[in-house]
This record gives sequence, structure tokens and C-alpha cells, in this order.
Amino acid sequence: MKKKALNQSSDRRKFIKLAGSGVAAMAIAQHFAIASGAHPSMKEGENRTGVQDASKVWVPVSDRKIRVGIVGYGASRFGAAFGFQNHPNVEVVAVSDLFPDRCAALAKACRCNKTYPSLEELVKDDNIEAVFCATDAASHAQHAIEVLKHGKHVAVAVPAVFGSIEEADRLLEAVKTSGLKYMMFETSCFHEDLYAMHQIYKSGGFGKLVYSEGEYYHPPNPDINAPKIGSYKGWRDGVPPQWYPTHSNAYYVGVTNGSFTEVTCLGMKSLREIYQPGNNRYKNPFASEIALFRTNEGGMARMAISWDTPGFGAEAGRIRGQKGSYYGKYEGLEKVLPDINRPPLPPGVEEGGHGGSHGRLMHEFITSIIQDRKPLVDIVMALNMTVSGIVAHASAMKDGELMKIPQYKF
Amino acid sequence: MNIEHIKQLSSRRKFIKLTSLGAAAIGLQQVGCKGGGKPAPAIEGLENVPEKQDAIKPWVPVSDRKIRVGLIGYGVCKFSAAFGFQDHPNVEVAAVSDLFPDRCAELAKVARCKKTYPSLEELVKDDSIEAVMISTDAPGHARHAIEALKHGKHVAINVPAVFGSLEEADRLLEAVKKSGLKYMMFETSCFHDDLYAMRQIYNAGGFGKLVYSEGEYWHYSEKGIDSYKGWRHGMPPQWYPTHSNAYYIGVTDGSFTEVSCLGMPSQMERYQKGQNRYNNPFATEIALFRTNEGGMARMSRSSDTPGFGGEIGRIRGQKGTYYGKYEGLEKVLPDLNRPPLPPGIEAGGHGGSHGRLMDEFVTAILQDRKPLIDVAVSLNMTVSGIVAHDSAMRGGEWMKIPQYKL
Repeated sequence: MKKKALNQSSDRRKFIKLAGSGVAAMAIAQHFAIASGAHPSMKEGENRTGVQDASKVWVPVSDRKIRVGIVGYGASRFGAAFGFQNHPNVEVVAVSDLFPDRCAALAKACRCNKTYPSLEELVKDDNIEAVFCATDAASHAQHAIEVLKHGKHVAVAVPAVFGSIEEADRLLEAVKTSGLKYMMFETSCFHEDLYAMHQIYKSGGFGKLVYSEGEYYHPPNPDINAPKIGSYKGWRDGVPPQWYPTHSNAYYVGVTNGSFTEVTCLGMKSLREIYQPGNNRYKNPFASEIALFRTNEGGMARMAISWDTPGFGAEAGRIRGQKGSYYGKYEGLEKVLPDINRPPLPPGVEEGGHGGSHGRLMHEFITSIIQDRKPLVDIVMALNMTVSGIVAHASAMKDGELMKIPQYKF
Repeated sequence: MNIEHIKQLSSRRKFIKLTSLGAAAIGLQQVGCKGGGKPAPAIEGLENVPEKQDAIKPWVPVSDRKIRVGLIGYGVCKFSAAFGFQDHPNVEVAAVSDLFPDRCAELAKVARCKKTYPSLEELVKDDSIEAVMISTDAPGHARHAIEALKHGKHVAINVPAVFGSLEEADRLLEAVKKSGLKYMMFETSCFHDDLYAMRQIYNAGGFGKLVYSEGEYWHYSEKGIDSYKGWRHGMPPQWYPTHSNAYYIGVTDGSFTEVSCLGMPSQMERYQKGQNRYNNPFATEIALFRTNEGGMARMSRSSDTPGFGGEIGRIRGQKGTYYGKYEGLEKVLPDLNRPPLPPGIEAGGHGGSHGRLMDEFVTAILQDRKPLIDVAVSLNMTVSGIVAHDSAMRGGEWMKIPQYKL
């Protein structure tokens, strides 16, 4: 580290110390709300518009260019949304989408000339080192395994697997066998608040987490005639809410790198057409599912997903630990906080959507390859986040039966 | 709804926005558990949100009758004087009581009342008293209420309605039914600005059924709070469940039918083995309820997690949500203003609920109607917590909750 950088970092530490004592003063005065409605961390959009955390400067760790292939440019146009095409350590060498028009649009967006008609064709290209799969959720596991089998690192949009614990086992095995990097792009993990929680947790500022809560409230369009969110072969139509659990579960699993061990989950039958008997392939009647988890620390977590309650929407969460809580900010017994700024991004890489997480997820994946280290959201964390939701839905289908959750370790 | 009213509503909405910001800022301060006036230091964290009178509707007296009220209990919270009975134009405080003579004398002074009794049991024998406010220890609540009812007096009482006992709940319900008198539990959340608005919108159909509700009472307490014969020491969190449970039951008048609740053994000394009379290891309990509408509710209590505190809640319905404000499909909302208060009555502590709880009780007697939080609502709020704690003691086992109807 150069001297200048050192000075900067020492200034930064002073700043944190000051900020920390401010927090402590407020903790003594106890931030206490009565009837004031949503607390700070619940403001819609509060966690979504990330601000470039300005005090740290990006330093390249290598001048190597990772040769990346990108697959999938569907309803969310996610293949191009994470900024691979703008990272100084990346060359996008090929793209693919099953639909030729989307494939062409993706190639254009990524400034890449080479296209393949399918993931299965793209992964045969020996020139490619890493693949980003932004395909349909129902295929995530199968696609990741296919990529790994062909010797490529893999980044994949959420969830890691889709409603199947067998898929989880196969995926874990494939990652282990390959020795390659696997990262799930769970956006909540790079929310400003969750990232701060993670740093403070690791430095002991919370003790054990007593209670965590996360939620993915995605209200329906109030216009009943509005087009529904498209999805490949309609995988979104009537999908069990807790099969898409990672945005909410990250507010425990992403903070502690721990897991949920047991769950009881309740659903309420939805009034909406797609959840009526016979109207979806999942035999799923629920558009809202509320899960109560036991954590591996012995604490509790409430993770909620709702798609049929119009109004307030959020991908947000809060935590309460033995030594402090985080509701939009840290309040607790710890006076000196660690650096809670998110990592800096290379010039030209936008932090992007979902609370400034897109660019950072991509950058973390690339950096983990260059540095040959575990990525932040590795296979274990990805499966602990995803499979707990699958079991939660199974519990909801049995009216809240208490169920054990498989534990994933590398 | 006429245009004038819609205009009022719209300026009201602006006003609400301003006050809720104010409330958040004031949340950083710390005053006692009492309403206005001198802060009582004992319960830290319960600030008095200085509520503006929701000023649109003027108060109109329904009678010039004066109800003769007895006030009982002036302990840690100094609560029997905190609701403003002594200032209500339809009330005459006829007598007061506390077991401790010094507290009794102070209560008499604060309530501007000459007559004192050494105990509730003595006070209720006074035939000139029509109604009592019972601010005694929580373990005494059910017994004290029953005693007052037996002596033909209407009863207002602090939370919880009963203390850890389902048998008490049955006895209390029976006593209220038999007496034909008014019973009201003073659950403060019911007159929070937001909960009151939720209730009006719910009654007008603006939510449909509630799909998911959540309420919480976060109150970090390192050393615990003093209490008569130490009833608070190591108390099961969900035995004090009404501040949180109100965010479903106080909105809908419904009930919880089943519960699975989890606790985490606390590190605090008073929750260690042998350190409390309740054999209770938990200072945090998180309950997942099934509601009588088929929806879900998460109700939380925590005393051992420092930092953000609150007595708050939120709801999501089939047609709209309420997170500080209504957002949903309904375009025209009913009047969300809380009832006006007589001149001289302060809105008081716990989010401007104190004066309104008292006025509701007094008005229910004058109008001979059911008070807002009657015995059925009180028991549905309280007993669900007792069962929740049982569930937590059994690792989250699902348990059925008794249902109360008047």
C-alpha cells in the first residue's frame, strides 16, 4: 500500500471512530419509536439506490483479462446488467440466448461479436474461462453444472437451485469436483446496509444474532390488465414464493455466513387467478409465505415473501444481536466500528441496480478468480440461502409443520 | 364523501407526514413511562411522543353526568394518574388507593382527591364509586378486576388482562359477563396514530383480509425494571404481548388461532437457571401466528438486544398495505383522525394514547356501549401471548389458542 493510501485509510479510521461515538451517544438515548410507522430501513427504495462509497480507491490486482461468456437476455435482460463488458479485467468473448433476436441484442449490449445459439454450445468454447448464467431459474442448477463440467468458473443469477434438494446435492458435488469458482449473484449481499452488517458482525459488534428479518415484498401491479412479468416457458407463473428466497434470507445467511436449521412456514391462499387450483404447474396456492427459522447460532429469523399484497414494496431487512441492532444504522454497545464501506469499483463499472449491488457482485466474482480465493457468495452460502426456502415452502404446504433443513458445507 | 372532506383528508395526510417525521426525531430522546408532566425515570426508552390533538373534529360532550371514579395504583409507572381521569369533565375522582402510604398520598395529591383507601379491596366497598382504574401489578390484574366487578364497578385496567394463566382468563370473562358492566384494557397501541388509521381503513374494506401483520415491542433493559414484589424480574416476554399483538387484533377485532413461537436463551443474569420465578430462559421471543382470517402474523418481544427500540407494527392486506401510511387499491379513505379530546385532556404518553383510552372508557359508560377494547379483545390479545410462551418452551411446537367471545 502506498503512503498516500495509508494516510487515506488512517483518516478514514478516525472518521469511523467519530461516527462510532455518535452512534454510541444515540444508543444511550435509545432510539425508540412509537407509532411512527415504517422505520428508517423500511423506506421504499432506501436500500436500492446505492451511493458510490467514495473513500476507497480501486486498485487493480492484476492486468489479466478473464475471458467471459454471458448467457441469457430474457425478461430482466440480466446478462448485460452486471457490467462484465465494462470491467478492465474482463473480455466478453461470446454471448448466447436461445432467442436469436435477444442473442443479437445481448451481443450488441456487450460489444461482442461471437454468439452461440445455446449455453450448451457456448460452454464447448475452450477459449472461455468463466460464464455468467442469467437464464431461467428452473435451469440454473443444470446450467451451472454444465458450465463447471466444461472447466469454466460460473456466476449465476438467483436462486441457485429451483425447488429441488437433489439439484442442490448435484450442484455442490459438481463445484467440489471441479475446483472452480461458483458464485450466486444475490443482490442483497451488496446492499449498503447488509454489507455494513456483515463487517460489524465479523468484528463482533453484534455478538450472536438473536433475531433477523428480511423481506421480499413485490406488490402486484394495481392495474389488473397490466402484462405479467414474462419468463421462459412461464416458470414465474404461480411459482412458490419461498422458492425465490435469497433476497430475504440474505439478511441472515449473508450477514453471518451461517445457516437455518429448522423452519415453520405459513402461507395464505391467494385470491389471484394464477394461484387457483389447476392454474399453475407447482400446485401452489400461495403468493405470500412467512417463514420462522431457527438459526445455527440458536437465534430466530423471520423471512417473508409476498407478491399479492398491493402497496409497500421492498427488498430489505434488519437484525438484532446480543450487543447491538441494525435498523438503517448500527446502534449498540460497540464504540468503534470497522470500515463499513463497500469495495470500490474500477472506473467505468457502474454499481448498478438492486441497491448498487450489480457492479459489485460482478467485480467480486472476477476478483475471486484473479486472486484464486473463495467468492463472497460461494456455493455453500448460495445453497444455505436457497434450500432453506424450498423447505419453507414444503412446510407451508403442510400448514407450518416444523421441518429440518439440510446443511451445506464445503 | 364530499369534496370538502377530501380536501381535509388531503391536508391531513400532509400533516401526518410531518408528525411522523417529528415522532421519529423525538424517538431519540428519552422520557419516562408516564405521559406528560414530570418524567418517571423507571422505564427507560418509553418516550412520550407529544401528540398534537388531531384537531379537525371538535369534541362534543355526550352528557353532563360526572362518573365517580376510583384510581388504584401509583407504582413504578405512576400509571393510574397518567391517563387524565382527574381532568375529564365527565369524571370526578372520588377516591384513590395504593398499598404504600407515601405513594397513596402522592396519588391523592396528583389526582386532586381527598379520599384514600389503604387497598383496592377497601376502595371497592365504597358504594359511591362507579368505576375504577386499576394500575396495579400485572399478576394482580385479573383478580383485582374481578374484585371490582363483583362490587358493581366498571373496570379500566392496564395491560396485560391476565398474567400467564388461562384459568384467570376464563374467570375474568365469566365475571364480566355476569356483571353486565364495562371492562376495558388500556392497550396503548390501539390509539397509536397508525393503528387507529389501520382500523378505520380495515373497517371500510380498504385492506380486504389481512394477509400478514407484524407488531413488536423492542425494549432493551439491561438491569430490568423495578416492580411490585419483583413480578417483572425475568418475566416471559410473551406474557406481556399486547403492545405487539394489537397490530393485528386491535386492527381487526379478530384473533389468533394457532402459534409457533421461538425463544433464544438470554445471556442476561436474570434469565439464567434459577434466577427467576418463572423458570424462563428467554428475553426474546418471536411468535408466528395463524389469524382467524387465515392470514399470518409475526409478533415479537425482545428485552436483551440493545439498540433500536419500538412499539410499532405494519400490515399487508389483500387490497393494500400500511407502513407509516396507506398504499393500495382504495382511492377514497375514511376519516383517519383519532377522536377529539375534551378541553384540558392531554393526548399523553405512548403515542398520544393515554387521554384517548381514558376518554373512550368514560364515553362507553356514558353511552352504555361496548368500549373499544372489551374483555374479548383483551383476552384474545393477552392469552395468545401466554400460549406463545408455552410454545417457545417446547421448541416452537404448534399450539391451539383459546378463542374469546363476549
